[in-house]
Amino acid sequence: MTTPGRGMSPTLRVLLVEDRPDDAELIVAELGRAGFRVQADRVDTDEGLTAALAHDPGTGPDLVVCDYSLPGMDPIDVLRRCRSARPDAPVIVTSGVMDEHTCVQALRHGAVDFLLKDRLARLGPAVTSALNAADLARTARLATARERATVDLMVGMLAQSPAAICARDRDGATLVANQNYRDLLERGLPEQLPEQRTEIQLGDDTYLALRFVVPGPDGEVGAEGGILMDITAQKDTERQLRGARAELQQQAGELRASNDELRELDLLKNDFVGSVSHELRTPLTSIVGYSELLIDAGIGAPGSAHRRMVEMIASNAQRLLTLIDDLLILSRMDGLATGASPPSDPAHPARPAPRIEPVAVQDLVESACAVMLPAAEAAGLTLRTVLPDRMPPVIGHRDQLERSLLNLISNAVKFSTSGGTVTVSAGGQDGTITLDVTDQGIGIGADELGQLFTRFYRGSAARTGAVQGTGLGLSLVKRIVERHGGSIAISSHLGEGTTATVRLPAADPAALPV
Amino acid sequence: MATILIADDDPDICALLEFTMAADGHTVLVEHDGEAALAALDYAPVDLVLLDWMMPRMAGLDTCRALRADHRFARLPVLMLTARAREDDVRRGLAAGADDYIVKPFSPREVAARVAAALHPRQA
Repeated sequence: MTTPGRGMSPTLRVLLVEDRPDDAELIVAELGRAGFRVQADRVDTDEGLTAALAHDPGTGPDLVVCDYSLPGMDPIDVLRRCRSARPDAPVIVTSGVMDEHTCVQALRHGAVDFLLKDRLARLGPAVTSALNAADLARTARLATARERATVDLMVGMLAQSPAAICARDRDGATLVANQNYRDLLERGLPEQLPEQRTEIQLGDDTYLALRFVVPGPDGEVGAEGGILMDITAQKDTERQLRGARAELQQQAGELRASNDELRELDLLKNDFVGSVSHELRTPLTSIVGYSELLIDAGIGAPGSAHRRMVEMIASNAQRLLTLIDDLLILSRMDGLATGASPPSDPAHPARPAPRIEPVAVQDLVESACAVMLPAAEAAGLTLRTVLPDRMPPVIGHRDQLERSLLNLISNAVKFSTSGGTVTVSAGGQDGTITLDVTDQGIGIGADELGQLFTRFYRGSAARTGAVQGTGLGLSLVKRIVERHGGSIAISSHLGEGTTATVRLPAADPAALPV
Repeated sequence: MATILIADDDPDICALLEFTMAADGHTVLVEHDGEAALAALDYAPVDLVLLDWMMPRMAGLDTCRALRADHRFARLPVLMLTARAREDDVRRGLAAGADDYIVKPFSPREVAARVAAALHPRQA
């Protein structure tokens, strides 16, 4: 920016501190000749100077030309006030005489140039050079101010940061460390910068250290920085979480252990029931066998007291056998339900699971009725079956399903009165097989219907001894039916009879072997 | 009439079977464990064995296998007596070489009928 008509402000505002209007005109003329468009303002009193300098920066003077010998004004004071009020406006001093002392004084007090009035031809170049210098100075001052602000900001950040921050040069000498860092040093932090991502314990507090490198101008390591952050609270939370997790794990372990124990107990119970059932069969064999031998040997005439006694022994042995069988089936099903007996466990030899197969419903009904027919006939009952020609099979354990049906028919027979009919009917519709066992017997009161499936529950008629039974039958039937994905319902009216209805899912025809 | 070897650890059941077999005119030998039963077979001519499954020393199933492994007894009728009534027990018993399988408690009449059938398969 060397020119007249500098940049965006083509008009040069000049303040002339000059008591002679002619000289002022000369100066303006000289500047005009040098190419400046000048807007001049002349003052020759302290008050005038004060007013001229009081203009705001946009309208104040860009340049001051000051006469060194003004009556009533001290040029040094003028210089000082100009510098102070308009630091960017250069001051050129003019004088009629040239003496070294004056010149030195003027320059020392901030004048950028000193001109003799009879050599005003130098004014143009002097102004150009002064304005350029002022421009440079202003730019430099602004840059310095910006730099200063940046440094202040950095210093403020360092001071206010919650972290402890330090930078060292490559020889390890501290370049900067904030108060937090200095505090930590006092609390025993080692002088050396800590390693990257280490945790440092100072008293009760834990700090996380981070390291970073500041490259120097040569591309080498210029400085190394270290930041320490207080992570005591996070560590505490972490510790609590770890504690909670350990506690949970321990509880889970205890639960698992007690679960295993329970399963083991259940297994023992089922094995116990299983082996007791087997053991009971041996003495029963003798009771059943010898009773039969006695009858065959012709003890007592048919109908005689002795004969009836032996027959009672035999029939009670049969009852006991039914009870044992029911218990055995129940215990086996419990065993299966708890996933007992892993085959690899030597303490519990492998128990093959009962076979699952398609079971023809007609066969099931006919075979159960064949078993029950003698008992029905002995009780003076008619046993009737109602079966459709075709119906899909059910999938399941044949012996369990047959046991269910036997129990239901046996109940119907037991609670019937002589001359009645027990009807077993089957039907298949919409993927469901329905089995009904209907009697015309004594029926069950509404108050007792809900308890029928409770293990060892026996209805009032059974309890009074009118009918023999174990109380296991219906709960066993329910267990079996439900294991086959089915349901059982009982409807009854006192004195009219009872119908037990079993519903089982029919086998999917597509899934059956051809 | 035949000679029947009864092997069962329960003396009452042995007596029951002995009585039943004797009533049909058979000669009866009684042993109370599997090893003794095998030893008895060595010195006495036996026509049929009634073998309990669960016995001390040698169980019925093992006795049956041992017996079948001996060519002299390959065709000897063996009837298994057991309280183990499950279908897969029956399968295992028959797989070990038993000719028939009778579940306890049994009817003596039924055992007599099955023995007769086993002794004279063609007539049965």
